[in-house]
Amino acid sequence: MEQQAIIAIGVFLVTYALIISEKIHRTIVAMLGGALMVILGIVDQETAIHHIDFNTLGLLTGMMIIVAITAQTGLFKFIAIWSAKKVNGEPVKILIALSMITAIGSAFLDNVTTVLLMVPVTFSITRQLRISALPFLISEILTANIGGTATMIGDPPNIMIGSAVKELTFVAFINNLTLISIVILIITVAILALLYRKQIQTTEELKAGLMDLNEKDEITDTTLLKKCLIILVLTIGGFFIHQIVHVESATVALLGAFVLLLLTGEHYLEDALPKVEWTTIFFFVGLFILVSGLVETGVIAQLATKAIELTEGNLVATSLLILWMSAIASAFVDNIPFVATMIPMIQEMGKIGISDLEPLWWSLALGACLGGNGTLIGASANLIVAGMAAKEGYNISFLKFLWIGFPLMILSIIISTVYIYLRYLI
Amino acid sequence: MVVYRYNTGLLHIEEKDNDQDKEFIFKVKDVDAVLPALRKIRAFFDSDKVYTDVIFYSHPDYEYQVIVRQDHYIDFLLALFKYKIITYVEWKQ
Repeated sequence: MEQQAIIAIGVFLVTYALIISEKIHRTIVAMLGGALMVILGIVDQETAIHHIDFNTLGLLTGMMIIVAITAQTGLFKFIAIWSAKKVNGEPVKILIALSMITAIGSAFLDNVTTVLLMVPVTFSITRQLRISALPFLISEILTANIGGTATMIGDPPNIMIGSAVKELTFVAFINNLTLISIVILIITVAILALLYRKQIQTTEELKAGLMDLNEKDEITDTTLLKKCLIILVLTIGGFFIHQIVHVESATVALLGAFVLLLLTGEHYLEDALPKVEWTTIFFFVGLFILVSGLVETGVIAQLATKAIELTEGNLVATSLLILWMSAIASAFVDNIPFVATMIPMIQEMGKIGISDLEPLWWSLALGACLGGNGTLIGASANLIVAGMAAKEGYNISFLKFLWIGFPLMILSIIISTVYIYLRYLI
Repeated sequence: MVVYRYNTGLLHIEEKDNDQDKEFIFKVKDVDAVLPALRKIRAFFDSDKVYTDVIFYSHPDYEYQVIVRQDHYIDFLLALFKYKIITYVEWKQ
């Protein structure tokens, strides 16, 4: 192995270890790791910039702006209270309803934003019913990650895969991942409802109090809501047809965001831009450059060759290896750097022998997204909810979550294994 | 203990214990005078970093239920005072 490749592996492994250790903010580590690749001459600046996937960054930024403005309208609170009333204030049914709303929200917005919007309204409803918010919060974590699996824009791994592989359009993600995500969602929520049904009992009087709530009062600005809904529908519609009109998904999202800002005015511009999670955006930038070092020095190509040797180029074995390895890895480490490394590896597999890469891409998407449910540190949304819960006196410990999350994650991967095998491999 | 007064021509305030919290019921009589202030107070507590300190619930006919955590009781009263929902507040032995 060349010296450059050894240095690239060294920088990559040290950076990865520091990201996992969480001693220093992951964005700082990734950016420094990326910078080191350039400074040490592994890649030049031109090549490094070429490796940054601006489609992923643009898509994330555009959607974050749209969501930041939509969140101000009270729409999520309205939907949550409306649905709680529709199920007559029955706690188990509310758990199911809020879980479904979280999953649908996560499919079209990012997971972190969805839980940031859902958790406060969950506290509000459970406080009114005088029941523990904990079962609801755990269910929302799990369903946010499952919902995010369903579409190309639902979870960062899918955004990255969709952006890297031009044939995998928004519609392709829906055709291949939505149905299986719905099946996993229904099974997971059913298990959670059975598990928690005795812990979330309330009185008829408190239910009557909830039924008396005026959800319409939660909408703070009807005009703004109309503008947001129009843009949201047009943007999601744009994702469906982006390949037909030869426009990248980032262009659709950014166009939606800035047309909305044009309609709402400067005040919202100043409010929305700081709400873009710039730490996440720069984390991606650092990772793309970091991985470029491995690509340019041929490390990824060698890894792909080894993986194919291991599975003897067998499509079934390779797909299932990627699915399970992605799930287990994503349960314990951040799935974004993992997917950033796996994407060029799968592309390389295509060059050296595997002709049909489609099962591998869907295996990676399912494994990386659903794997996040395995532990509390498996996905950003998990940690965000745990942090919000801890502040309000609800302790979601690593072990408490592992006890529920890990078996449900394994179950979801077993279902995915059956799905991948039946749909793509026989 | 804290005592407070308000203009009964504008609204009626009912305060009671709710489990470990305090619960207020505001029945607004003068919508134009009271509602904008109540909305500002709600926006303030909705946007702070604590999610369960003060939770507002809207009911029909301009009736608002507010569940206030014991440790934020004084903060809530001071917010009511700031926006002139209550006009007098005093510590009493």
